[in-house]
Amino acid sequence: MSDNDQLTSKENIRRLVEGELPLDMIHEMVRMPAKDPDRFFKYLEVLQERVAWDDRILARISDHLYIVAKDGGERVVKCDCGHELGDYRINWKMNALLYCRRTQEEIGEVFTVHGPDHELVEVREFYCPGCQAQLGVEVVPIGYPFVFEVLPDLDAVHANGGRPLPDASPDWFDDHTAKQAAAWVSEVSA
Amino acid sequence: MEDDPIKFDKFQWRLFAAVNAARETSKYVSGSPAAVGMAELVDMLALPEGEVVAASAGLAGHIGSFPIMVRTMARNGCEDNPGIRDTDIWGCNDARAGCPHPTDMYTYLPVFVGDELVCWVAGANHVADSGHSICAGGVSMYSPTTYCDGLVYGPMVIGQRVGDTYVHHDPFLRMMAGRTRTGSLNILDEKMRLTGAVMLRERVLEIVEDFGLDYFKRGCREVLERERRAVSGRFQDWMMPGTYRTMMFRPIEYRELMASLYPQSAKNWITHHHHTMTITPEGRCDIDLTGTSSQDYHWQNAFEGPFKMGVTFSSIGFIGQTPLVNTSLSYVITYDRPEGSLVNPTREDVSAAFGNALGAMHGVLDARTWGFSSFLRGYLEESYLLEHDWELFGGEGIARQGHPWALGDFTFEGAEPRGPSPWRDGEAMTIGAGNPEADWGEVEEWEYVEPPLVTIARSFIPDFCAHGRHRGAIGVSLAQMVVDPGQFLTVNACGYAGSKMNAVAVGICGGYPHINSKTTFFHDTNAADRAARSQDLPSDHVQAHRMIDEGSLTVGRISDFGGHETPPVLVKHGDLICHAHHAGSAWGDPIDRRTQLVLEDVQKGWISEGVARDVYGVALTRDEHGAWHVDERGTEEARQGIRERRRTRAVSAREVYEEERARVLARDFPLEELGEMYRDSATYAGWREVYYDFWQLPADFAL
Repeated sequence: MSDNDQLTSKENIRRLVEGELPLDMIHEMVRMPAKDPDRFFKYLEVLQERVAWDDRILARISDHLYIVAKDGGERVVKCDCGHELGDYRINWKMNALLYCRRTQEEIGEVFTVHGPDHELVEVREFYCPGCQAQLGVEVVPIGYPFVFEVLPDLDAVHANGGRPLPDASPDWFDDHTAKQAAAWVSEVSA
Repeated sequence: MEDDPIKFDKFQWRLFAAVNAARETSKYVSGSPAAVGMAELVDMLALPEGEVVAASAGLAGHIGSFPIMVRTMARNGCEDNPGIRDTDIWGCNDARAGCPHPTDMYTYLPVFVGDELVCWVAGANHVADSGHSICAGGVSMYSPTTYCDGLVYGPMVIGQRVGDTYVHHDPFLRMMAGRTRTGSLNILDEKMRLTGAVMLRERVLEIVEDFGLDYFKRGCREVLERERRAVSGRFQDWMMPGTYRTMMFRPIEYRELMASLYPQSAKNWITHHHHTMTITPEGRCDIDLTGTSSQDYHWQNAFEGPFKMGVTFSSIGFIGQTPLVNTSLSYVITYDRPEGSLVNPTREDVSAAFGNALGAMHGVLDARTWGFSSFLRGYLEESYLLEHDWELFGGEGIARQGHPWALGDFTFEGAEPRGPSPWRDGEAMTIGAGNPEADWGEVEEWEYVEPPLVTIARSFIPDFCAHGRHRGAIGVSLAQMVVDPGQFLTVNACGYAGSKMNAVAVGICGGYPHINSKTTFFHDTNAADRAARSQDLPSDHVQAHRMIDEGSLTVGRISDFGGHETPPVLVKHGDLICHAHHAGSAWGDPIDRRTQLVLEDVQKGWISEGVARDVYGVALTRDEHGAWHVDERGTEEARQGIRERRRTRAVSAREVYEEERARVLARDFPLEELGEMYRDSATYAGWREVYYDFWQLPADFAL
């Protein structure tokens, strides 16, 4: 096993994820002439071992959120607490809890010296309905669409690593958020 | 090249040594602290068509803009009129031609071997002032039209080599002296840039002599191709392919200030800057800026050169760590800049005074996304949020004896915060995008050229950071007292991080985003009297307000524009100026932060006990010796309390969606300029689709 293989062992990746890897070892990782090509899959293994459920993790999309493969063939966003936030092609924020800070006093609770002007923006905090973890923050004007921060190309990243997903299809890399919005609006109209 | 890799390696390092030696030597010709003390300059070697093959450390964003300027020369027919000759000295600072902004000046030489133009060599730096009509110091955020942009020239021949001597045309130097506020410093900087270019030309001719012309030409192109492959490989191997969205907003408040003099600018704007980035599995990064607001009569118009210079600052820092800093980045990272928008202006009369600042913040949006993307791919060691938080201030005045003078202060430009990683906090004053090493410069050196601005504090501001599992860099203060300003002195501040709205709009993984900066003027104070009595002075604006409340600091009035963008403000003896900048982004949910880290922050005085409790959910106790300790049980209860509060305060996102959709349909926005922002962005087809689809607006609905 080479020095770089040892440095990027699964145990060290686990320590990196947990914030336990010493800084000098992280610097050594930065200085490696080439990255360990199987990192993505080691990373997924480490992440899988940290959660209490069995759905297979296909990717991580936030500190607490993963895209997992369900037995029925769906790919959904799942919090590490186990709460699911729907098809990953729909912005997960649509299915989260949301608190909007709209007064200067409310904004001042989290921007503790000076912060954005409440006349210009609201501070949106998205929480997991299951564990109330703060999953995302937006500071945007009222009337701005919820920001779909990332739609990963899951099929590509798995195929690039030599482990293509069995249900690969171009439809997986397609934003479906508007479909959710349309369904809501049509329910209200009905 | 493949046959003899050692020879090629020698060739590369000869180029590296040539550009860096030019920079390190020529800076001593300058008289500006920014150049001499902080090395705010760059030397470049470029192909005849403009592609930069090698750049020195420092201000390397110019590799993005220099090629645009050379292409402008070709488009303008400079080869025919005036022609390009071996003896020419060329100069340019025109943003429309490709330079970043008028305060960034280029001096460059064509290098001929025989009759063949084989490359360009260039020196570039940010001078202290370029004669903007409203804002001194080259920090022109109050700039209604291009006719306020100040001294703009070139690309043009500004001098010649006569024998072995390089001579600037005298009318050019007189123009530089007469049309800028810091003529003598600018002429020294001009000579500094020329010195670097001349040194570099001589080294290039030696390299050609040693390696042969054919090898030089092929070698330069091989450098670009190898580094293109390296950058592309990083996108392919380090990052999660996919589509990412990010954005920022910027207020511009001209309505009252411009009303009588510039009616075309007598309005307020909120500008929208939107990025849809696609990282492809093949290792490309395509960035679509559709939705970005339209050009208009204010400072934010970023022509191609300024835009590319600004974004390149970030891409070099994050993805371009190759042996030679060069233009290979732009073969991998592409920008779709909608015509007529702020990132691709088409009007001749809009200001081009400071578009590079806008470009730099666009670069921050990209680099943050790359940091996030590396995290998703599992390369956490490469993952951090790049902040690009240059805040500058300028000023002008007439000294007591009648001598006009001006200043352009780079203190906050030399050392920026590094954003957090998924495994560590952000850190103040760590990165210098303009310098090889982060450097605020020496207080004494700044005071030497700005004698009425006496530094009374450089310090951290407690609780001034974005909060998160890994908090952002603690924001820093520069507090100054005005001492004997002469007949008059005005100071105007500017910066990249935005006023009144966060520097970027989206936080990472539940952390709060990068906070806007602020400059506050306290007028007619008793500070000079307090200083004479050796009494305390405030170290930042928070402390100043506290001292005012306590009654120890008396103040006649306060100029507070809500952020760090200020028009020129008249200051007098004893006034205080407090800059509060560089409060960086956080990563993750604050209540996931390790209690030990919160404790350490409180012990250092960076975070208050109240913020530790209310934001981080960490309960602390203090023993009889004044030492802080974590109350584990109290912490558990506090964090549970925060979760409970979140549960009771929040509603379903669907409920907010329905409420805000109703407001959009009713055009019920808190400010007129917000409605205008949405109306304008929806004139761009791609963004109209995003907006109308999300809110399910009827196709015939008019925003």
